[in-house]
Amino acid sequence: MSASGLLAQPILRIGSFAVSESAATATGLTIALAGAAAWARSRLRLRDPAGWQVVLELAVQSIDSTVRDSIPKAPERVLPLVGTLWIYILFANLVGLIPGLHSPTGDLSVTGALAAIVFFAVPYYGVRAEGWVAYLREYFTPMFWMFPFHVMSELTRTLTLAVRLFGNMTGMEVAIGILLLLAGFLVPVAFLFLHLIEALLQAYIFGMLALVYIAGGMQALADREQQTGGTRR
Amino acid sequence: MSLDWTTFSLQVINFLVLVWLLHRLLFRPVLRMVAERRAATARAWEEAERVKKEGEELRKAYENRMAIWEAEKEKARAKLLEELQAERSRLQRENDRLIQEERERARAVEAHRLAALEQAAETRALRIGTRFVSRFLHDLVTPDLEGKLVDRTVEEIERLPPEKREEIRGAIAREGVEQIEIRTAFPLEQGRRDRLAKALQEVCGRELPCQFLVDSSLGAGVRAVVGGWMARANVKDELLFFASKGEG
Repeated sequence: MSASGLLAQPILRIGSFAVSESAATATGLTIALAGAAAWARSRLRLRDPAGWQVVLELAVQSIDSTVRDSIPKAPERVLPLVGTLWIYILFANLVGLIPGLHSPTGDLSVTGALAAIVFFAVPYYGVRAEGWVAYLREYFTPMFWMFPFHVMSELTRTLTLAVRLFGNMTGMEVAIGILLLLAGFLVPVAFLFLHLIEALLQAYIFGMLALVYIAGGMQALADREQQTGGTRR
Repeated sequence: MSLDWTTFSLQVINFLVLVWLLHRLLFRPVLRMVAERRAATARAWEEAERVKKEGEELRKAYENRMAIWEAEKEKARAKLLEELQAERSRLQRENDRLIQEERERARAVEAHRLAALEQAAETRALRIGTRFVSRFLHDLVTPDLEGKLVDRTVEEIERLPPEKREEIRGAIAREGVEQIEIRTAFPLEQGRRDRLAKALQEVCGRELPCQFLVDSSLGAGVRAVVGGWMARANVKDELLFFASKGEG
């Protein structure tokens, strides 16, 4: 992979819009995942489920239980976003294993978009769970002048979220590319397994951090009430 | 390294659309399916528990019923044994009675058989005795013996009680007897004839004519016939009487 591969390379131009390879791959991945979900849904069976259905149910139940463990209050609202993050990032990371394709997560624009969604999801779910006032009050605690620091914290963690995924996946692809150039086709097989693990790990980390951020936004009021109650006691 | 806002925007749209689609096509249906399966499992479990409980209740009811049946069976068995014992005792008594009756019947039959044998032996002995006495007396009878027998006959006729005499006279009158038949084994001398005729006529109450006949088959002695009445004192009739007593 060349240095220019780190940037979004346009493969299609529609007027003033330039569609990059990452956007095309991400769109294709979205269509593929949606199609697979539609296919799976049409074949779900209550009795005698197939093997793939068992695996799918186990995966969805694992995601659901993880979300429920982190968010006691209305976890079903957060499940679609966090679950989609895990699934999407996992498959986006694995796309890089297909010859001729690059992981969309190796594009900072893609990871930035995902991080931005998480950035806006935190106040969205926080406000839905606690209300505007309670949520905004959190930015001014324990002192009102803490507000810029809270905002800075949210911006930086969003930036790190995007850059971490981008950096890891890009680094992995660059490393495998260099190994392919230097050692031929057999030696990098071990690194392909490493890529697989890395894809799983990064998807888990991204989704888990997003879940923690959203849970933190939703549980701020509850935590404060718990602290207040503890002080009163 | 910079952001491509077109890619950024497309990614945001793509991802949000994917969130919406997966929410409807994957998470919700799968979780609903899992929930339905759990509910079905819970219902099946509850049904199994209910069936198990019913089974336990049925088992207890069955055991109680079995216990009652066992008690009733034991009671019926005891009653049956008691009835069997009573029936056995009754049959034993009946059997004993029948055996006793059969034994008495056999004893009676045996006694009757012995009596018949004894009677037959006695009859046979009498016949033998009669034949022996007949042969023995055949050489011993003489006119003197006959005379003694006639004398004794006359004495017996003369000792007949008056009521007997009246009876004989009545019979003679009813039968219209006109003659007295007198048989002897030897010709009687005149004196004995007269005394015999006189004694008979006194019994008859009138002087009926007497017809004297000699019949050697009498052996010795006399046989006088007046209608239905007969005076006998001879060897033949005595032996016949003796023999008939043995057969009687």
